Amino acid sequence: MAVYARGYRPYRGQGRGAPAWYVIYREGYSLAFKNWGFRIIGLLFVVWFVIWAAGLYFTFGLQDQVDRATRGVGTQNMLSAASQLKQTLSIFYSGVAVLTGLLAILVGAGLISDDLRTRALPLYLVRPIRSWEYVLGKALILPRILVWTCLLPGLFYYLLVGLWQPPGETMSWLGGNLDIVESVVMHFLTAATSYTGLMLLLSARTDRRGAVIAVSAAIIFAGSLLSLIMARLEGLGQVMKYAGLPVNTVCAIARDAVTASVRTRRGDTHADRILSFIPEPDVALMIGVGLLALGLFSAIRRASTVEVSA
Amino acid sequence: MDVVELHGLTKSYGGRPPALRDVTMAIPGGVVGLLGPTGAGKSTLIQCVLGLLPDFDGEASVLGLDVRRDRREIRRRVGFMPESDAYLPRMTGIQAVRYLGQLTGLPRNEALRRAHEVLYHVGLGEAIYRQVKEYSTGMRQRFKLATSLVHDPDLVFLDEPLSGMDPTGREELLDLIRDLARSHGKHVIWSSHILPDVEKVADAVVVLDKGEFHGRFQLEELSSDRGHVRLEIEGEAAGFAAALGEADIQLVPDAAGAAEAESSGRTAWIATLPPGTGGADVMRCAHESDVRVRRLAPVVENLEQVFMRILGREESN
Amino acid sequence: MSDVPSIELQAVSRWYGEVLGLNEVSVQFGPGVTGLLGPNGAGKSTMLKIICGMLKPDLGTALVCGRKPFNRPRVMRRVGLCPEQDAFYPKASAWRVVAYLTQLHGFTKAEARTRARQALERAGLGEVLDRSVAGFSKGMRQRFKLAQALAHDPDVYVLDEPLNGLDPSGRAQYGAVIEELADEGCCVLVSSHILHEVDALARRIVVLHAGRVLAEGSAREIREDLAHFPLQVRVTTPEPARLASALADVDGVTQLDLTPSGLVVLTSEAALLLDRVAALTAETDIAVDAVVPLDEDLESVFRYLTQ
Repeated sequence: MAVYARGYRPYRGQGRGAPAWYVIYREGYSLAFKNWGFRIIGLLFVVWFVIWAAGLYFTFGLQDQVDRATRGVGTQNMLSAASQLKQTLSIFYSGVAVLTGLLAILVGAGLISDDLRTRALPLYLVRPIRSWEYVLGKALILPRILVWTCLLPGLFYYLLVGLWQPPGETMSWLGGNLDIVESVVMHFLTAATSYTGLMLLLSARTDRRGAVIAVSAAIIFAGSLLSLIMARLEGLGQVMKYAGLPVNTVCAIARDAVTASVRTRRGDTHADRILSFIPEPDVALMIGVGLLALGLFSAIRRASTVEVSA
Repeated sequence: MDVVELHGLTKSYGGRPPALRDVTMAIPGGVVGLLGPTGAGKSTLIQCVLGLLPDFDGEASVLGLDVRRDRREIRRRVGFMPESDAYLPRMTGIQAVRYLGQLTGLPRNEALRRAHEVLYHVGLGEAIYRQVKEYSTGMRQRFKLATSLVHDPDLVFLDEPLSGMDPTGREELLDLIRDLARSHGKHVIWSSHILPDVEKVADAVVVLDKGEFHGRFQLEELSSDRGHVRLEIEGEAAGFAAALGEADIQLVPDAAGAAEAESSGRTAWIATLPPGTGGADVMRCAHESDVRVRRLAPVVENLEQVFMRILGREESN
Repeated sequence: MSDVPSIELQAVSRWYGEVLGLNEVSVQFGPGVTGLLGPNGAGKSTMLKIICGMLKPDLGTALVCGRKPFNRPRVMRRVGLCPEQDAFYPKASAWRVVAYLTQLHGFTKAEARTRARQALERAGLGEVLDRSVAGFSKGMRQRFKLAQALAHDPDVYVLDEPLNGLDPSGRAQYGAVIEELADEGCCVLVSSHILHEVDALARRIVVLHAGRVLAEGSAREIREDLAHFPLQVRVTTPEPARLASALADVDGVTQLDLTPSGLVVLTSEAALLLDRVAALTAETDIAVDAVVPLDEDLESVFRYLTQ
């Protein structure tokens, strides 16, 4: 028999935990899902995703079955399947761009500003954490969410259309259209870098989440509207072309897909005019990387000291 | 063993006069109060020692580790409870403490177990499942204390740990701090403006003022000043006073205790006992003069007076 | 309106939704300093808000200088409030803010400014009049809040946790101002969590707990009323063991503890014990050189009341 003390016990646990950046990233990612706005936008995204998956099914899957039933051989033309998928992707991603922008604002606004507002920074910094680890953990949260919204749906559609190709042609179709994969990945990278960069940059500036939301929404949405209008004007308006940088840069993939499909169908350059405010994809990625570098730099500088004014 | 050693520590912010000026001192183990008026540099000192303010001049070591070189190791072995009302957004008490435990290097499951243990220990009860945002001031203080203990540090810095707490809560946390030091060998460095709290628990105090080190004081030295006693009696005061006068015991009315004593029908004096006489002589006199001694207590210096003396200021009363 | 500053609550109750704030509280405060004590959630803030006319009692009547304070600027003209929260910190300089707040009490701009300056000087902020409150330390903010309460020269003061964040010398200065106010005949109500502060400032104490008044009076008076808690006395002598056996048969003694600092006796009949101690010293060779009551102080009284 024994009666044990109830008081403080020393810690005798063994082993090292995960690296700090991973802990921060993981906690931030799971907390993002607790936000109601986030959940609603997530739901809208799922609906949007299902609509276009169904659209693809009616265009390819159903046709495929009909063909098999009537003639036993698929008649889908490789080129037209690819161009229809591109068209679908361009419409799908134009919707996703809006939802992603909203998600980026909701998740990104509090990244660092919340910790500043609740004075949590000293709680982090007195632990064995380097400031880059803190910022890295925070910076990974948004890209992880964009994997769901930007990367996986495009790849999924691509595989789906490939599966619906006539028997035996799946692999060759998939192999022949790797440029779609490249576009989707570019789009994801552009979105992840530019949104993360922008949100880190703004969020590390102030402890007011509201202000971050307002400014980032202005840049992401109003900015792209402005550049859309300005792009239609000749001359002076061109300066404002890049006003909505993040959203414009992530639209870059749409430019590729849209112009490709529209050109094949109509052969005019109308689409080029509409989309002239969107930078070329490789330029877009460079802009994104630049924003990210800027964001990381400013966040690490902010997180390297606790000299907060009272 | 000295847990913190500073050599010529100087830290200035921008162009302002230095917050710490050539501080050379050693902080012993056990519970040590870090005292000083507002602007003395207490917080700056703690932040320097934790390696939160890297660019300072001079040498500093904590638990024998160099502040500049072994920053990570120091932070693994040291806990810090900030004064500011800090919490983590959108987390419950248990989530936040677990998270901070993981950030100190604890594995995920160990961190959860440990978080439960320290949160229970600081007495947050069922509130651990509520959002930290909704906590009252006292609960926030308990929460912050738990975050500083989750990784079982050897040394804890507490910056105004009891401010805003009600008397019951203060007593509880004081007991807890005392237990950490006495039964578990933790070192506690504790900055506070409320000296009676410090006096109850601390072994020693160090005093800073205007960025300079002013002195170190062991609380054992708060010994009684044998010459004076505080005296409170019930009964016929005049006769007793005369009897004491014959024994060469001088009486002055006790200004601080007078009103309180009168409210309960007593008379309060400060008595000066000449060499060779003692409390027992006062007791004998009282017995003979037929008055009842309610209090016969040596006049003891309190920490507040010591503090003022070290700062070279006149006593407030 | 009566000339003598006073506060009177007559069976005041107040709740927030279903949460209780005050429960049928009747209490009076006259000139002088009164300390208001109670654990968190005891109803202190509710009481102060009712007195300052910021809340209306759900039941009962609150009177300040004989008038109901709720929504009456004329009554509030005589009340100086020092709120607990650090709420109002614009970037403007301290004396401009105080002057502005004083103007709200109906003073002309010029007079408000003079008064603001005087009040800030009295509160010990004379050297930082022109600095912005946003950059003040915690202690300076407390003085600032005192200054804005002083500026319109009221005679009822309501100070909620006024000494939080002040360092010892700051506390002494602040205490001196409160004492001056009391000497001028003002009615000063001070709430605090830090018992020894209240002990130093206020003779009279009101203890609230769970929305009710548990006790009022001086700490000693309250202690004497708590007769069912036996008194703890520490008796010091070179031979504690002998003393203990000599005291064991005194009526009322329930416990004798030999501690390193002396013999601690628990007794319900303090008079009998103290007489015996004196008699032993006079008539035997057991010399008692100190008799210290351990639980007559405010801290013990508060503990007994709220446990």
